[in-house]
Amino acid sequence: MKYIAAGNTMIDNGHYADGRRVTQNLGGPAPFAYSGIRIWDDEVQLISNVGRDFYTIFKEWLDKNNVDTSGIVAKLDTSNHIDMYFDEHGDVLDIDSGTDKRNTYLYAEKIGYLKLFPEELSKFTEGKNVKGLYMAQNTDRLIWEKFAEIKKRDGFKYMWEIEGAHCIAKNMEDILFALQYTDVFSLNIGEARNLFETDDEDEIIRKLKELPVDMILFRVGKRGLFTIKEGKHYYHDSIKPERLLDPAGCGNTSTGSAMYSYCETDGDPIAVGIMANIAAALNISYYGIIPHMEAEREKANAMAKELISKYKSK
Amino acid sequence: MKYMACGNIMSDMVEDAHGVRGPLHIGGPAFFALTALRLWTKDCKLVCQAGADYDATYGSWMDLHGLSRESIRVEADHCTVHVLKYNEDGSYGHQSIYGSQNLGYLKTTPEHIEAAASDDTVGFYLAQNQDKVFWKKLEEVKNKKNLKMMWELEVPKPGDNLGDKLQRIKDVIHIADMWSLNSNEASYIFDIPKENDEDIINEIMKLPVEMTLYRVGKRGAYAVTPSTAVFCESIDVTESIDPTGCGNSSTGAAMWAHLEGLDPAMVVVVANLTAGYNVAQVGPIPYISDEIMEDARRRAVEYYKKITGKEFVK
Repeated sequence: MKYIAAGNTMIDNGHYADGRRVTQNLGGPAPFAYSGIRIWDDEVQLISNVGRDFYTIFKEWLDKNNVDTSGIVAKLDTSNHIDMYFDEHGDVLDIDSGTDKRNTYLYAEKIGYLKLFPEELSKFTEGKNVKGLYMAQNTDRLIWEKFAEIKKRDGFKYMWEIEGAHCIAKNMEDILFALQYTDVFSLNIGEARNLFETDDEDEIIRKLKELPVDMILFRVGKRGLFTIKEGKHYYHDSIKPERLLDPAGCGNTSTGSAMYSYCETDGDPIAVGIMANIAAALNISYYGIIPHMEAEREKANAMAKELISKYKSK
Repeated sequence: MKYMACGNIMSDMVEDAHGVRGPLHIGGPAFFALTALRLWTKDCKLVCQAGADYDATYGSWMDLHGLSRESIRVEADHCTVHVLKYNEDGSYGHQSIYGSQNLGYLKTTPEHIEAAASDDTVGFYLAQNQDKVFWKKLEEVKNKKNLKMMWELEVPKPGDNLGDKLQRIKDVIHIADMWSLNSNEASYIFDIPKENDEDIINEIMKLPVEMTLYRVGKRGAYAVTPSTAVFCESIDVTESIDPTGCGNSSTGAAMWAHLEGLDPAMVVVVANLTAGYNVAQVGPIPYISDEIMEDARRRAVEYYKKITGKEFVK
C-alpha cells in the first residue's frame, strides 16, 4: 500500500453539550487518519490492534468502503470503548472508560495492550513501497529507536501526531529526539501551550519554527490551522462544514489528510493546510468516521483545486 | 528451561503524607513467582516485557541467582512503577508513575510465551484475566508446545465489572491445568461468604482443573483437586514483615510442586513455606543460597509430616 494509517482504534460514545448522545461511533487516531487519506486515495491501509467486537460493530462500514482488514488484528474480546464529553464549542471536556463494562481491565491498561508494537507495524512496511505513514505516538525513546530502524529501512515519510499527554515541556528533549525521525509534526493549540508553557500564540509559532522538522501542522481548533515550513507560517481558516455534528477525530482526520498531501505535493504548505481543513470539514459533518469515503472524493478534489488556486493567487 | 514465570514485573515505592518517597522495591506477579520457582529449582526463567531500566533494578537479583535473561524483551523506556501514597489518616491510594498504558503495553502475550518455551519446558505461571481471545491463543500455544499452565486469577480492579463472573471463569478455565485464587476473589465469584471455606471448596472442585491453590490469607491455604482438599496453616519462617507477593510466590511454588508430581499435601506445604520466606522482608527473598534451598526442602518434609502424620515419600 502507498499509505498507512497505524495505531489505536477507539469506539466512541459521544456526549454533546446540547444533550445529544450517540453510541458506538468508529474512532481513534488510526481510523480517523485513515478516513482523512481515503477521501483522496484508495491506496491506504489501516493497521491497528482491536477487540473481536470491531468486526461486528463496523461490518457495514468495512464492507461499504471495501476496507482491507488484513492489518486489523483482534487481540482481545472487546475494543477500546470510551465516552467523550464535549462542551458547547466542540472541545473535549472529558474522556472516560466507556459504558461497555465488559471491558476486562481498566481502559488505559487495555489501550496499552492494544497499542501497536514497532514489530507489528514493520510487517506492513517492509518491501511494500510505502510512501507515507501516519501514527499517533508518545515520546518513549526505545519505541522511537525501533521505529527509526524501520523508517530507515523502508524510506517512507512519517507524520507524527503527538499523543496529548506527552506533549509537555519536561519531555522536550525526548520530543527533539523523536523529531529526528519525523517529516511532519502535528499538534493542537492546547498541546502547544503545554509544550512551551505559554498562551501567547505568536510566541508558540516562533518556537515551533525553531523545531528541527520539515513541516508542522499546528491546529487551532475551530479557527483552522497553520502550516509551518522553512521558517514561514501559513494560516488556513477552517472550512464551513455542511453539518456541524461531531467534532471527534477532526484533528486525526486532518492530520491523516495532511500526511497524504505532504507526500503528493512534495510538501507544499498551502495544499497541505487546505486539504487538511477539507478533511476536518467532512469529518465534522458526520457522527464518528466518514461513512462512505470514496463518495466524498470528487467534491473534495474540486474544493481543494479551487481553494489552493485562490490561496496562491492572493 | 523447565519452568517459566510469565507476565508483568512491577515495582513500587511508598510516599508518606509529606510527599517523601521511600526506596524502590522490585516485584510484580511474574517476578514473585520467579523467586518462588528459584527457591525450589534452578531450572527456571522469567518471561516478560520490560522497560530498559529493568537492568538497573531487577538485573542484580537475576545475576545473583544465575538466571537467564533470554526471554526478557525490552520494549519501552521504563518498567511499571507504582507509588503508594499514604495519607495522615492511614488511608492510601496508588498511582502509576509511567501510566497504566505502559503497564498494558508491557503485558506478556501468548506469542511471547510460545517463543520463550523450549522443548524441555514443562509448565508456566501467568496471572491473567478472562479475555477469551487471549485464552484462545494461549490454548494454541499450550497445545503446540505441550505445556501445563498455572493460572493465577488477576485481581479484579475498581470499575472492572466482570459481569457474568462465574461463567466467564468457566469459559476459559478448562484451558488452564492449575488455578490459584484467594478468598476475596472466590467469595466474589461464587457469591459465598469468604469465611465459608467448605462451600467455596465444593464449587472449586467442580471446575475442570487438576489442582487449585485456594489461599485464605493469614490462615493459610488449601490444595484442592477434584476429589480432595488439603489444608495447611500459614508457616512462619522468621518474622512476618511484608505480605506483598505472597499470593504470587505461593502460586508459583505450587505449580512447581504439582508438576514435580508431589501430592496435594506437599503442594500446599511448599506453597505456604514459600510465602513464609517471601513475607520475611520487603520485596523478594534477597539471596537464595543453596543452603536456603536445602533448608526449604528440609522444612517441607517436616511440615508434611506435621499435617499428614506421615513421612514424605516422593
